[in-house]
Amino acid sequence: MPDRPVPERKASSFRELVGILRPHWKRSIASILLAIVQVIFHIQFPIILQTMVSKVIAGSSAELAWTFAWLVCAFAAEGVLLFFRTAYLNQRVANEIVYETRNRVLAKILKHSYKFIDTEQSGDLVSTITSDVNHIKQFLAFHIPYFTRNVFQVVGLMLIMYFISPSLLLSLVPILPFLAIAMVVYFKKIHPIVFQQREIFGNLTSRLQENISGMQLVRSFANESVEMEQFDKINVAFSITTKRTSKLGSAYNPVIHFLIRLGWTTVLGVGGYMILQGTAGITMTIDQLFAFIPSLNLLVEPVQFITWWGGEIGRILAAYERIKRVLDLDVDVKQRPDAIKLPRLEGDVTFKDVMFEYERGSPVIAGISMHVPAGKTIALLGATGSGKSTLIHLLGRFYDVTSGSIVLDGQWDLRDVDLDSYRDQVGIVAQEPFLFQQTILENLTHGLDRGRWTMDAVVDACKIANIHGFIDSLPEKYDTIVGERGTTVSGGQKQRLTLARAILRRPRILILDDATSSVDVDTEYEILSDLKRIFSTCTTFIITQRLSTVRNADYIYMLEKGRIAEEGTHQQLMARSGIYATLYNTITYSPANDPRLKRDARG
Amino acid sequence: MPEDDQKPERPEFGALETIKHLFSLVKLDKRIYLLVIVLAVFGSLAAMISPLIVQQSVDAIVARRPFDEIIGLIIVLGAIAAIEAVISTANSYALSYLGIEAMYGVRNRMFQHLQKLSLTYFHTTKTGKIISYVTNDVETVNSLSSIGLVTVIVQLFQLVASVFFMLSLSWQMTLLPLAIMPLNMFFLVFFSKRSRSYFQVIRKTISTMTGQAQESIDGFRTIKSHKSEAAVLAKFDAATRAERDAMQHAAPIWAVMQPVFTAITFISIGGCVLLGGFLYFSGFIANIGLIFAFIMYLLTFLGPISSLATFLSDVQNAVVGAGRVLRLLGTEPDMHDPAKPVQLGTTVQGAIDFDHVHFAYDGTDVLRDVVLHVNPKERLAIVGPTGSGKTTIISLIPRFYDVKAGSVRIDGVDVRDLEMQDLRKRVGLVLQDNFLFATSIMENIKYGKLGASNDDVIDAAKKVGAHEFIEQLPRKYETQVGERGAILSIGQRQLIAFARTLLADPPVLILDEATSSVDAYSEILIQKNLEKLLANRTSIIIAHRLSTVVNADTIVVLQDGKIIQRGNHVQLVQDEGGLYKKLYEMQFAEGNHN
Repeated sequence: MPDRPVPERKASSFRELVGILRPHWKRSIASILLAIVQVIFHIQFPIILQTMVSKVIAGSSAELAWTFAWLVCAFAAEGVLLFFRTAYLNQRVANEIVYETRNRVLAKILKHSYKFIDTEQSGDLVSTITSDVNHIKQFLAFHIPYFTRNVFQVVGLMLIMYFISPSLLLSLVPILPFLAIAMVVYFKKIHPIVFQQREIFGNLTSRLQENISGMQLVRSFANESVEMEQFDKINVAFSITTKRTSKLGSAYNPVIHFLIRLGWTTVLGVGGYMILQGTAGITMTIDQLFAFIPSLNLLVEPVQFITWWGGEIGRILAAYERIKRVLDLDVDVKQRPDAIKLPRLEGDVTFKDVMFEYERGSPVIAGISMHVPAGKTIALLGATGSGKSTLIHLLGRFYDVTSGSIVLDGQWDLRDVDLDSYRDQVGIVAQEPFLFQQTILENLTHGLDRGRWTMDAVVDACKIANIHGFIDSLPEKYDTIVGERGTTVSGGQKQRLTLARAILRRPRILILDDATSSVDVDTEYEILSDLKRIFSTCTTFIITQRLSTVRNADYIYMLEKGRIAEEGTHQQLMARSGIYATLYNTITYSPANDPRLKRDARG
Repeated sequence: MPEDDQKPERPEFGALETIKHLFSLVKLDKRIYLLVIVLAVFGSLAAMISPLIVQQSVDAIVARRPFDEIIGLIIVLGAIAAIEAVISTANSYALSYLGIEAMYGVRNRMFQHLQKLSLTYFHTTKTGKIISYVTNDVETVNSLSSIGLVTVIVQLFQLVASVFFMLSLSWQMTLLPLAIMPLNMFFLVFFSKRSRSYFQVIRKTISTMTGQAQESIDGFRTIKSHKSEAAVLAKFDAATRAERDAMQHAAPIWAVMQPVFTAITFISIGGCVLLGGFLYFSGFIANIGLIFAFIMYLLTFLGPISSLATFLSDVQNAVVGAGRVLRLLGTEPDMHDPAKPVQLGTTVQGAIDFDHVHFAYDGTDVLRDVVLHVNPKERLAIVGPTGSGKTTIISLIPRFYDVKAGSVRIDGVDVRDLEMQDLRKRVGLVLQDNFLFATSIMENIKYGKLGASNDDVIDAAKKVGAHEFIEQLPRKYETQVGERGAILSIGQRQLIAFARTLLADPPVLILDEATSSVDAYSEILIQKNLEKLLANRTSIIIAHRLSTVVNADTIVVLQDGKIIQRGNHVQLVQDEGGLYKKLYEMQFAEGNHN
């Protein structure tokens, strides 16, 4: 994983993050107002204490008791407010935001084209949806409310201390620069380390994920010890950075605590001096001193939180920036606002000078023109990396062409049509079948509205795909759960299930991207001939490794380095004695001395 | 609903047992451990001295003694604060150092353990789950292990010391906090019990939500091509909504703790001043300074109580998390290396025997009485319909699974008598879809033989015909292939897998449908080089395409886990009624279908 630079803490992303609260402004404002009221109750503590001490000194027991009752009321009220504010304002707002953000991020991810998923690490995306959003929750549910409350508390306490004794407050001034230095130093140092720690943790997770996904490979090369070494390396790096953060954190809190205690001691000294020596008109009573010291104590927590939060904010902004990155990424395949809703297509497809490049200057499709009349079956052939799959992905509009165009039924540019109405009519069976952790039926009808399929249609599709027999043999038949932890299905069965899924949609254009590679030759043959019988009017694109299948296509395109190298029917291509013919002969002529093979190739 | 999610999240050990187990896992530097305890005791003692000094200063002020008498006390107070800061820094760092070391150790242990578990474990456990064991649940080691215990001991020490000092100042006043303590405990137990049950519900909703997110991203392409975004989002919405509602439901319980403890703290301070005042009026206590000192002890008394409360409620979660860590570490690998492994030596002939092998998976028989013999350097092909057990047969050779009956032998030695690593180094395996790491092509090929030179890699790539396409990539051998080799086509990944295996140069080579996803072009390249790849080693080939099979020395036909035919190609095609002949005709006849 490349080292990412430590991002600058941007004021703008902080503002945006706080801006997430905007739709919840009523509760947020209410929370702030309650915080003010709560602080008003809270900071009465020094005053009450002062009053109580003066009553003790004055010896008036009844008034002492009343003052205590005042204290009980103030803190009971504060407790109720605090409870209400946390449970019904802060938590609720945060939970709502988490809910909305998670949905927003996934919705945005699903808007992207294939290009996006090609370049992203899936583990990374999942952790954005799950753990990064949780960081935001921490921020909104605990940090912001707590921060606002603490700021109010500091301000309130300062005011009270000023009223008690301006000169005692003044005596604290020498400590302030040290406090400020400690805060700034911590703040500056912690941010890069925390960022680094996060990155390393990301590496740790990816390493682990790869190890687990590739476990069979690890085992078959007996490379366990190397895997452990590599993991250990990251694990060591992680504990080193964690130690660095904890070193800073371990020193920071005691230092803040010490500075406050120093203030405390100063106040006691200065206060004692003023009471005892009472110089130049500045006098002080003991109860004033008794009120001042608790005020100072109440300052410890807010100051500690505010500075701790400074370090934390880097972590939160980093999480937010990860979310924002996903939310802000430009969707490269966009639907035009005036997109045309397609009628039922004939299935005629034209590629006009289609070019496509992932990276500028290295085209994967370097100018392809082809016309496929409705109802025809064409086969795409070519070496690994010749652009077959890319071409088909362009037809599915999972990417947009870089230049040129793809035209449907001779009149609609693919980029102008409504994607939903188009994909409704295109059945794509991908190279790597994917099944959701659901029942077979749910997998087959995936994405179809309830009104658009019947059980009979499902069974029919499965019969065509030659998988009904297998499903029927399962104890729970169509209700069998498949997917990562479901009933194990073989590669061939998976492919046939995804094929049935496509057939069920009765597509006008059917794309089989090496979709039967794990299916037996005989089964494949049966499937394809059934398909052709039932969907005689459906335009079919086939990518396959089996020349026998290619041979049966109406027309064959041979691709090479993103261009069409040869095209024609099987007979035409064989007559040309070009690449196709050579390929066909090499593959079907087995080195075995089998006369049947030669006879077959001749015929 | 996957079955696993319905299992209660309750750990199989009780809280105490879990903590005991963790203790045995976490081996810490005893000296640091001791240092932490010593520092903690000194820190607490220092904290105990200050109130006494404050008491003296306050009394001096109240009694209007000369200022000179208190200046010394105040300097001592400042000095104690400094000492406390230093001790606390050292202590807190030492503690987190221990925690980090413990987590580091347990993480490595877990990772190592994963390398030992059989593949069955990975087939039945979600990747995301394992990852969260090793990343998140490990964190709980920090709070639960001995480090957590040190904190508890230190807190208890402080608690007891505070009570002692409070008693020495005024036993009457001490009654108040002691009376409040049961109240505190009641809240503590009550809330942590309640929050635990809520927490289990929340955990379940989070795990469902994470699973859905993972699946939506893994199934990205399928979702796009079936334009089922809306349905998927609706399902995800239901999951996040459930999470939100569960959180919201638990919010009051979580929100009530802090207000209760804040109120208790401040009201008890006020209560002590009240009580102290009355005691002062009635002459039970002589000086106001005593009230002051008492309040300071009260604070050192309440501090541990609230942190013990936090600790206890954390323990509830931590026990659940630690339980999972222990469950993973306690999962016995279902295969072990033998106590006294037989050494294969440097030259392995590569004779393979299946001696009446039976194998069952999930109670269904997969292989029944399979008898096979492959001579060194011979080529065996396995043919048969999907689900006939071909892949199972070959998985038994590198001992990915153990036979239920019979034995698999390599050079006459039962594979169970060999060290697994030793065995697997001798057996190369190329599958239909091979895993690539998200690193460069160079690194991926080198994985076959760590420490191979770049030239060896290029050489291997040339031999399997991968060199050409690699050279065409913008960064050639240094091209990053992406997650699982995402930027390459299946065919390209396959070629790299071939190169990787060739580099390893194993005496036994297994190809499981290794060319069925490779395009015809690459296939020619591979076919041409396959002979080189297969020469001089024992090989076992599973292939749909019979053209790959016809050259094998022996071909066995498998159906429903049984060998129903065996012989070479010429012999088998002569068996008119046989399955082989049928498959063979199907394949070569299909070219004529129209």
